[in-house]
Amino acid sequence: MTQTTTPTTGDTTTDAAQRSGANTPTVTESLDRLSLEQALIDVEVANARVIDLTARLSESHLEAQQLRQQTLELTAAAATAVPAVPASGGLRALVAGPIKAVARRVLPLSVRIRIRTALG
Amino acid sequence: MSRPRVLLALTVYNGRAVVPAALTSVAGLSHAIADIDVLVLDDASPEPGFSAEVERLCQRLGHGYYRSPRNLGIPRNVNLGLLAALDGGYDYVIISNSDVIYSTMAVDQLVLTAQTDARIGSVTAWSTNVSIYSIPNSAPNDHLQHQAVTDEVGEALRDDFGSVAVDIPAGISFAMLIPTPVLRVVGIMDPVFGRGYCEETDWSRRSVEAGFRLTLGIGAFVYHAGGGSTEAAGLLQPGQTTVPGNEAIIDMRYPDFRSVVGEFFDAGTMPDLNARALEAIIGRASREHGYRLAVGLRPQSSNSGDPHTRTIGDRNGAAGALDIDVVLHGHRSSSAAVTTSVAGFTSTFTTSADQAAEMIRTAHGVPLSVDVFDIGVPAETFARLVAGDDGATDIQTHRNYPARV
Repeated sequence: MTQTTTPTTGDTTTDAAQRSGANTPTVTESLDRLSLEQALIDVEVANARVIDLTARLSESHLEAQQLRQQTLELTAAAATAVPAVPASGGLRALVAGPIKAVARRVLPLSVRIRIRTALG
Repeated sequence: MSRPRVLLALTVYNGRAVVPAALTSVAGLSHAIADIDVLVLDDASPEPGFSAEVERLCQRLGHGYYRSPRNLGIPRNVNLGLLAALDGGYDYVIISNSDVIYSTMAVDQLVLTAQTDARIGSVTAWSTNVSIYSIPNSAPNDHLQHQAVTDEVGEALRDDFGSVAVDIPAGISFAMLIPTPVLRVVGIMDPVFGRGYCEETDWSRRSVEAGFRLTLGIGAFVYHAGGGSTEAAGLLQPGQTTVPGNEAIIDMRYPDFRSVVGEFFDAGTMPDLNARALEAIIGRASREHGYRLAVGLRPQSSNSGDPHTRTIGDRNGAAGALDIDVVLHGHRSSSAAVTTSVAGFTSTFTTSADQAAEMIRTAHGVPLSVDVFDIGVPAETFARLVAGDDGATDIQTHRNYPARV
């Protein structure tokens, strides 16, 4: 591993300084610098993420509240909108009613009589 | 054209049992293609006295050494290596675990592979422990932590595959080379992955989105023990091989990643490559060192031991021979189950006894030695078919029934 991060210039003063180690960053110094710079960047990124995520969390929280309210309203509306099942005839009468109405409109009487006879 | 400069950044966190071997291994790397500097990044290892030992070893071997004042976690420690490569004007950086043994030519091969295409964003070395790309091996830790053995495997793969780059869904940072120009475009690892795992998958997918290829350097072999330090550090829960929280980040960011991996599996790339790798490794061992033939089941007490756990080389690093074990069965012992093994790399097939003898003789020539463990004419006949009748090979017949009888 090269112990310097600056290229050798050939200048005797620089060479002498490098030999003595006076101005040459060591591996530790170079990596301390890189580590510190990156740590500061990481903190900035982490802060930006926290701010962004907090905003999104608040937005999601509001949306969840609205959706919960809508669910309650729709549930209440559905309970009143569903027609009551007739007491006599039950489910069969509920289904057969509209079919009979359509049949009356589109089928001749003779055909309707035959169907009624066949179905009992 | 100037020689490429490579910074090999080896991250360390504890690991007294494996780190010295890794540091010694990278000190012996070939510099035929590239100039290689090694930088050891000690992530504030807490083992008493360990950091000082590593530092002393680095000084002796000529490696750079840096100990973080605080524990950074894998992604940020790796980032130090990536930044050091950019800062130092290197052409390539290798991010590497410290539970590894590099085959001597591995870094040269990684560089040569990267040089085949400017669109290559990373080259992951090949290994027996490299996630879904692993070459099957029955006992890697018994064999491959010996430099001589890893070198033999590395030479076999280099000779057979050269600088072939195989496209893969994600790189694995146990030994992964990245050209620094790619790093300038893609950036460094995301610290959101905390103490580590999945950060290289995230980096890989970012590099794909930037238009780069992710590749496996199948001519570059690096032994990887794997898992030890991360388990010891509590990074992995017992029985787990990954960090579920980090996997969830990958799933959220790259919803198509799992299907990309599935397509890679479906393509059948790795089984084909593994078969060819086995052939190359076995073929080389046979050519270089010959082979020992055993017919019949070895008794448990045999000094030779189980063929799957015998080593390609002895403990002094001297290379050894291939082992071929044949078990005859069926009507009049007409079928032969053949197991060929070296350093835990094992190939098996079953065919007729006559054909098996012919195949062994044709592929591997005359054996160094023959041991017959089954009493009976068929076993001895088989041995003579392979060894020949000229008496050049001494056939040892063991009249002691194996324990199974």
